[in-house]
Order: sequence, then C-alpha cells, then structure tokens
Amino acid sequence: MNYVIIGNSAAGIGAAEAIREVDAESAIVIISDEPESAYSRALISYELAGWIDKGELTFRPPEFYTEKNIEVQSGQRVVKIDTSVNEVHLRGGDTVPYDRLLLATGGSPQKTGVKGEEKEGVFGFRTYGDLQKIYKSVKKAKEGIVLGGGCIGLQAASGLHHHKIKTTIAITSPHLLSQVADPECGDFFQALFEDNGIKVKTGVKPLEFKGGDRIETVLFDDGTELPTQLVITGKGVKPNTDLAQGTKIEIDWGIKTDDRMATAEPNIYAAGDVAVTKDRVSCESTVNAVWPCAYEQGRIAGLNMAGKKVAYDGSMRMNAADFFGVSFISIGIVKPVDAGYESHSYFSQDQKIYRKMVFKGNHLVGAVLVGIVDNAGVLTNLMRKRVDVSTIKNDLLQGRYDFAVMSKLIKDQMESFQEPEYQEIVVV
Amino acid sequence: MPDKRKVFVVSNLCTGCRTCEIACAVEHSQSKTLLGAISEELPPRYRIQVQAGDDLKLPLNCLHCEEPDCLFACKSGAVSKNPETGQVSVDMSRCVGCWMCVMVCPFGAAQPDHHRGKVIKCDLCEGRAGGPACVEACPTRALFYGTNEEFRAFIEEMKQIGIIGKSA
Repeated sequence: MNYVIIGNSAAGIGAAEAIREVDAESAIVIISDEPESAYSRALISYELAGWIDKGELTFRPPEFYTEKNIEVQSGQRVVKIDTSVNEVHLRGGDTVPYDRLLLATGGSPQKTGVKGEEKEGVFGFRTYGDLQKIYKSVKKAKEGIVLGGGCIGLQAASGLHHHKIKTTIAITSPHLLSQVADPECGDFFQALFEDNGIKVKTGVKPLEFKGGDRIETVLFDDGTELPTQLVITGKGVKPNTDLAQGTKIEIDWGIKTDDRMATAEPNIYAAGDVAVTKDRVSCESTVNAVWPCAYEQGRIAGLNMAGKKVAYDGSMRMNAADFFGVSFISIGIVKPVDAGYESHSYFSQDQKIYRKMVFKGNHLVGAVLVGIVDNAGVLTNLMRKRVDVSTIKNDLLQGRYDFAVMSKLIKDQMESFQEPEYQEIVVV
Repeated sequence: MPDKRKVFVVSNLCTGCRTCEIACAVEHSQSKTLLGAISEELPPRYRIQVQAGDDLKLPLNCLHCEEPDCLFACKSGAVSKNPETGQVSVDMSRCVGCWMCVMVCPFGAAQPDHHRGKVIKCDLCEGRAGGPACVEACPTRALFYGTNEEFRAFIEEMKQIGIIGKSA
C-alpha cells in the first residue's frame, strides 16, 4: 500500500501518525510545498510576539519522520492529480503513485481586494514564509496596521507591538472579535489593547494601499489616511482546492467529505482547513479551520485510509488565545442567528471576567469565556456530546461547570458517556 | 508487562478534606515542604482538584485518556502519550500556553497556570519513590494508584470489609 499525503501540518501529521498505528510497513509519503519540516502554523503569532524562541515552531521532534519511517518531500508542489492511474504530478514533472491519497492542503489568506495590495510591506499572516518576510519589514517599520479584529489579527497586533511598532488595528465591524463574541466583550478587549498602547479603529474599510513600491499609507473610507510601513491583513482563509479540479471531488467552498473524511473520488480523502465537514453543534456543513479539528480529521482520515472503519463525529467551531495575559476561549455557536436560541452573559469589568452561554432547547450550543477559562473543555464536551443539560443549567449560568457538575448527567445519559475514562471514576 | 498504572478515584470515600491538593502542591514545589512552598516566589499549584457536587465529592485528576483530546489539540507538540505506560505527559519546555488542551479536556484536568503561562496537569509524580503524592496522602483511601485490574480488586476488597456499599 502507498499512502500519499499532501500537506505537512496538523491534518497531514495526524493522518500519518494514525496510519502508522494501524500499518507499520507500508510506504507513507508526505509532500509539502513549504521548505520547512513540520511546523506549527498556529504558533507563528506566538513567535512574532516573542513568547517562544525563534525556530521553536516545530511540533514534532526532528527524528519524527525517520522514527515513523515517513518519507517527506519538502518544497515540492503537487500540480495535478491523475485519478485514472492514481498518481500525483509534481511541478518538476515527477510523479508519485498512490493507493490512498489525503488532501491536507490547508488554506490561504484571502486577498483583501484593496488597490495596492501587491505593494511591499503588505502581508498575509499564515506561513513561516510570511513570518520571515514580516521580520525583515519589522526592522524598518515604525508604524504598523493590522486589518482584522479576529484572534489572528489581535495576535498579529500584539506581535508588532512587541517589536516596538506603533500599531493600529483597523476593522470594518464596530467591535473587535465580532465573529466570536458580543459587543461588550469586544469593547472590553478594545480597552485592553488601548491600555497596552495599541490603537483600535472600528467601522472603517481600507480603500487603498498607497505609496511607491513600498506601502506608505493606508487610505480608509472615512477619509483618514494613516502612515504605515507594514500592513498585516487578516481577512480569513480560503481552502486550497485547486487540486480537485478535473476530478470527481466535490467543492463547496472547501472539499466535501463524508463521515470517514472520504471525498467523492475513490481512495482520496481530505482533512483540515481544506475540508468541509459537518459541524456537530450547528449540524451545518462547514470548514472549521482550527488546529484541533484539523488534527482530528487527519487522524480519522488516516485510520480509514489504513482500513479501519472509524466515523468522524463532526467538527466544532472553537478557538483559544491569550491577549496581554487575558485568556479567551470561544466554542460553538456564540452569535445566535435567530430567536430559537437563548443567551446569557455575565461581565465584570473589574475582575476582567466575561462569560457567555448559548442554549438551544435543552442543549448547550455555545460559550465564550474571558479571564477564567478553567474547565472550558467540560463545556466543549457537553456541546460535543449534545447531552441534555437542563438539570445543570443553573450551575452553568452561575459559572459552575467542573466535572462534578457534569457527572450529574452521566447517570441519566449513560449512553453518551461510553469512553473508558468515565468508568474509572467510581461513584459507588 | 508494561506499567499502566494510574490514579483512580472512589468518590464516596472522599470527605473533601483536600489533603491531596496540599500534597500535590507540596510535591510540585521547589522545597518539597509545605512551609517552604508557601514562601516560594511563585507558589506551586496543585494538579488534583477536589470538586463538589450536590452529594458528591470528587478528587479529579488527569485520567490519561486512551484517546487524549489534549494530545490531538496541542499545537506545540508539548503533549505526548507513552505507548508503554499510557501516561499522558506535557513537555513544559514546549508548552506555549495556547490553552487548546484546556479548551478540549472533557474533565477539566488540564488547567491554565497564568503565573507561568503554561498548562498544568497531573504528571503522576514521575520519579517519586512512593508513587503519586496525592494517593499516599489521602487519609480515606479515596485515591488508588495501580492498574485497572488492581483497582477492581481494591474495590472488591473495600466492599467485602464493608467500607463501601455492596450494591455497586
């Protein structure tokens, strides 16, 4: 059996590790267009912010590939999949045969569509390559602008700030973190960033990146023009689906997968930021481009590629971050779209605590935690298992959601708690 | 035979005295004494937590899961599971405090330590001669360190001598 994996990040590694659990012998080839060994894309903002040492982005030790007997072809780009003969074509003309193929091709930063976007000093913020380019600009920059008020945008801004750059976050929405939190939570973070010396400009759209070859100013639709030598755009990520062209693989924003992470093309699987999966909370098909989902999808794909029959119970929208010492976790549906949801929030400016829970019927479907994030995984688990939480709803609203509280549900809904670990806590 | 021992809990033997928490914190201090620990610049934190429900007291610790969500979610490669012992460990030098594990641990056993900017969780007191300090310290034997089989045998023994109910 020949396993070929395109992509060397969370999903690709998750698949390779899972395959090796089942199949110690067969050849595994990982092909990546990035020159580096496996590194954690999600940590580039941590490096920029000086929280981890330069070059400490690897998430597996250097001996990982040899120990697992995995061949890596780095800096190689797959340009085509020939499904008639089960081969992938590399840019240089070489071909690699596969019996099972995983597309873990990830996503790319979306273009802003703003005039002047190609100027030097305007960067996406996703890859190690992006980070290296930003480092070069950082040395010369006095002022920086981050376009985007999501987690990545805020982390990028913290990073520029760390490099003593006068940083402004400019966003079109009226509040920071508008996709993942309430206005009052967004305003809380705005105050936190401003207290730390980062400006926040809300409700503005960039009209033009101005300057010569290099960026000099950004013109906004409110007429203001801010000088800058460095712009980081954080407009979100678009799945890299190009390779699916000319195959039976179905695209709906990302690559459509079934519950075994298989695509519509025989023997081809997809996982990670490129894959459309069922969201286990909203039940909608979507791309949940976050590290834990990517790894898990890769793992499920790998197990199935190696002949196990394992179903994926679906992805979840989730994110965690830490800004100026204030922790932030957002899980599930946090911005209800209709009246079928019930939201409760608690906010204490003094204690720097914010908490929001979203319910639909008897189910917890979303949560935002700021400041205190302990036991967040208990909430994730309640959402993931879709258990009836009506008997502990008051506890949840009071901020009590440790395992002891959850254990009240276990007796009544035993069928949802079948993992061996639940049997190891004996409540006699 | 691989050593698959871990810490098990018999919740109804727990009185909620929190001796385990103290023992855990002391074991993870620099000085390894309570007096020394409380005067350390960064006081140690306990990994085991006595949680209380309506009629339940539960000294909760990392369960070293078969399929550890924390391992799957860790984006810095700090979490690993020893295939021999089943122990789930965090390499503190690699932890970046991203709270991914905190976000996914179904038991709340991976906790953020804001003072150190890293996660803390049970390390089974690795290398400690007497085994995990919490188990040794528990005055009511609500904690048990051993294999699954040893734990089941322990439960039977406790039932036979009438310490815990015969119904379970």
